[in-house]
Amino acid sequence: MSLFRQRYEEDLRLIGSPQAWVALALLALALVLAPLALPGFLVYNLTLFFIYSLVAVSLAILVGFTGQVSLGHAGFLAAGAYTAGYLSSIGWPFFAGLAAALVVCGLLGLLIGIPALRLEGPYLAIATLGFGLAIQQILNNWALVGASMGLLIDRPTLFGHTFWDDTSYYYLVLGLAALAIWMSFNLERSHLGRAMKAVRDADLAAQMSGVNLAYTKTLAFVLSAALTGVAGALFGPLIGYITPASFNLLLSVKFLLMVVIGGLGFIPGAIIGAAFITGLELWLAGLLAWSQFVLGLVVIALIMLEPLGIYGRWLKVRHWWKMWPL
Amino acid sequence: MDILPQVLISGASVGSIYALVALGLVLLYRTTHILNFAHGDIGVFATFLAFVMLQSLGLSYGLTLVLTLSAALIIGMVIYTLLVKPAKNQSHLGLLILTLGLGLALWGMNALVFGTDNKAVPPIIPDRPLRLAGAAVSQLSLFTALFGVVLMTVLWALLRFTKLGLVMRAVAQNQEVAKALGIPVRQAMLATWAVASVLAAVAALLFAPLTLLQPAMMLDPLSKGFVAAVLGGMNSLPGAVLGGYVLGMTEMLVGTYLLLEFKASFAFLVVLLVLLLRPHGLLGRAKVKRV
Amino acid sequence: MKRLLLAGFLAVLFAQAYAEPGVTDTEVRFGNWGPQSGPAAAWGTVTTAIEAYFNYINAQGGIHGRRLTLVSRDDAYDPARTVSAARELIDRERVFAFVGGVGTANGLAVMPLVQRHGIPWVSPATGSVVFAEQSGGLIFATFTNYVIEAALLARHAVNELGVRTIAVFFQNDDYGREGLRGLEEEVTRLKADGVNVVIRDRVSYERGAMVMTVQALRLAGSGADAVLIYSDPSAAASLLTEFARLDYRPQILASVTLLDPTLLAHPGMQGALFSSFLRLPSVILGPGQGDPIADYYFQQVTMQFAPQIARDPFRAGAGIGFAQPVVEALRLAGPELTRESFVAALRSLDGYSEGLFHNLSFVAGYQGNNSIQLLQMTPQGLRPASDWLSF
Repeated sequence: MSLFRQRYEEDLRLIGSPQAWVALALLALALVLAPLALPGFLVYNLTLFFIYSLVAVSLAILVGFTGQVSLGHAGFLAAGAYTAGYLSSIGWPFFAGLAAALVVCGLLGLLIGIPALRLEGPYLAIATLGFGLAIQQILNNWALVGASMGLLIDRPTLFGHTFWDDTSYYYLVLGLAALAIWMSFNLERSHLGRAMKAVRDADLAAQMSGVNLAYTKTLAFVLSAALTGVAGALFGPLIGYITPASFNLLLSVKFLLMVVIGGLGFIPGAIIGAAFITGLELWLAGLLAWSQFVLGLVVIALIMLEPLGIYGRWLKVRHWWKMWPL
Repeated sequence: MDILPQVLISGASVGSIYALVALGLVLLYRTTHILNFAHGDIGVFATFLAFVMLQSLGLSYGLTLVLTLSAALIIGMVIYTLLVKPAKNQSHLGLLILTLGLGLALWGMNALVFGTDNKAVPPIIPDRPLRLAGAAVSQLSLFTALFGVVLMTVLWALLRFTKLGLVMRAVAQNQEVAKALGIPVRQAMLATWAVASVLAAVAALLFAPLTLLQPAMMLDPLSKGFVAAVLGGMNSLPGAVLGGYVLGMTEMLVGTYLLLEFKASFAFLVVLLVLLLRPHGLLGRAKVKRV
Repeated sequence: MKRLLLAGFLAVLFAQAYAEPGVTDTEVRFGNWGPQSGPAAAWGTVTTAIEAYFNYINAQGGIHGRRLTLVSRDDAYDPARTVSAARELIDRERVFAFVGGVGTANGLAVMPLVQRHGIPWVSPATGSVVFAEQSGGLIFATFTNYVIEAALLARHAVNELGVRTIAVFFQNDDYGREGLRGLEEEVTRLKADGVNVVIRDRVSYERGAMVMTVQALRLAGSGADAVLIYSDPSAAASLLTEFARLDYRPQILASVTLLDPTLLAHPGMQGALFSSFLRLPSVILGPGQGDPIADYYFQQVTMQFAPQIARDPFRAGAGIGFAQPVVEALRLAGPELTRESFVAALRSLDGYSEGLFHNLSFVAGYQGNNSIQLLQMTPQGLRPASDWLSF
């Protein structure tokens, strides 16, 4: 195992080593074969995990890369779910609705991203919190999309096949999520990704080095919102029935938890965080009245034991393993 | 009938609650740079303790108050010692998540220990309506408002004129340098958490008589408190109080004269516009950033 | 992973051994969800109450030798988690039927599953009209719905109390909006009969908001004789406190969810008219005033099997009431228990009044309970203000 890079290309490569290729192939195989071996409710939860990991990755781009904290991402999820859901209810094809959700949320991201340029730290966080609450309130009073009574959303129909079945919808979501996450990895490795991280670490220095601060920060908001919008478009058909009340502050907090507990600043961290939180919720549901208390304790324990998150701990372990003198 | 005086006065009465919550949030933030999402739940816990003392133990209100606030003080110190201090090298976001986890755990614990059913907490003074400028003012509201202003003044004096206050201000400015200069940073943080917890308890105790006590009671006031704190400036105590009143009155004016359904959204829009003009809030001060 | 595969394999084996899921010679399994955490956690009491009633029945030997088991999951009032919980209850826990289940949005999210798997569902713990309307032969509603309740409250206020102007304070969701609809439909009917009654204002609030100052100001400004309240207890308490500050004392008409002991003690609730679709025990109505059937079940079930929920006697009673038709239907279905026989037994229920509901009947439709009783808050406590009213 070579510890040190010898060429620039190695730094840019997505899959670092033959071992990583094998691991990725095994993961892909496991995900593809999972619906055949697992009971229906686990397939449902895995599909939910894919959707949540999209949101977590989008939040990782915003919070992890550019350091702008958002406490209102449930608002983008809601906007995406409602846009796609409403359009499909008036007869638009699924992918057109998905594209519309992407555009609408991107525009919303722009709407909040431009004022966000003037705000920092807690001011930005609370502004996004207010934004999330405002989206919820607007949807709750908008008769066109059902207001507080909610919206019924059917599964999509593509080429004559309707995705009622858990397994088929699982594969659809898996495909789209994998594509979106691959694109996020590419973003991270690109010039724009590096510029974003530079903005997070030392924005004045980055600006002096030629990074357009306003453009980079706003673009991060737009991309993050758009990606969450796509997740929303997939979320609606999965549950089948959405109400504004579900897209609340606690949901935004949950997404933030995923990103930080999984490993802030890393895309694999966000995915791991999403898996952890989704699985944890599944387990907690059986604990009934103890669930909230245990959730709080788990969050406290994780953040105190490993500030870098689960993926950060994994990196430490891997590094230690690699350095072992054998 | 011109209801504007009533609207303004009712808005101020709502605002006084937001101001109290914001005061505690700002005190903690300016010294430790932590957004404390457990603030509401600490207050609720203290209020539950007060309820148990009043109902089950039959203690007098005065004694209950003293014991509850002392308990809040201790809780704040415990939180700092067990959770915040050991969490070294944490980014601000990590500490925020820590307070989120603490809030969830406290909320769950409150529900398990005290139950999820509604409880009634008596007010500190009877809620009798008085008349002022043709509008009805509640005695309790006036007390809350006055108490908030007094508290703000006391805290401001604490920060300005006492040694502890000086230490807290030094820590607020630059923690690393303060440590290097031998300033007792840990004592300052301990004191800050203790006082902030007491403020949380006070806000919850003054809010509970207006509604019913249950574990989720402070979720909405906490969000509003954060917005008020940001509006006034996260590092300004007078700003917290001002922000509370401005937010309360804006909500009332928008809700009465414009659209009731969207009053929270409109209030948020107003806050956003203010922040665009003054990115650090109405009375906040910008930090000088070094490259 | 292995354990899940094993569990799945065993479940399949189990299912093949017995034709009907959730039924063995010694046990019947029922599924349930509810908010055990989060802001709506008070409604988790309903689950505890249903389980207490099952334990009571089990202590008497069960039904036809079968023990009743309740399997419940916390969904924190989030429909996404309700669907997950329902999936788990169907796939892994293999429940025979659903009983209870709090929340309208939560229930609507689960309906496609219910229809697709043909699972009977008794007593959705929500008063929304949609469950009986879209029953598909599987859903049996025992909660008198909000539309009927609001209409009956308004009718009584106009005809018996001489109210002519009404304002309504409602939560901005299905619960509040159905109450609003009930009021509006009743006012239309009354106007058609020549009674001059007017709705002065309709004021809403978002669920979760605690401070009702703006709403109180609007309602006080309307000057209505009566205010119909379709809210949660915290919002109602805040509203009444503000009313007192503004010196506005209308006749309060309160929906059943406001039968909260602490709210009842609020001074603003004096003289208020409440609706209840449930028989109420003496702990709510005062010593010797309670319905004997309600008192019996409160003592024998709540105090014996779940004393910790006795401080919320309304929800404790509601859970028992929800579970009783289940037990009665199991009895009627006989030892050969299948989903078909269970559903047929439910449909045969007509005039069932031994339980905590005044009169349950499913022969004419899937909304089994159409009665409410009105109560008024007096300085001595809650007193009946009417007989059982049916729509």
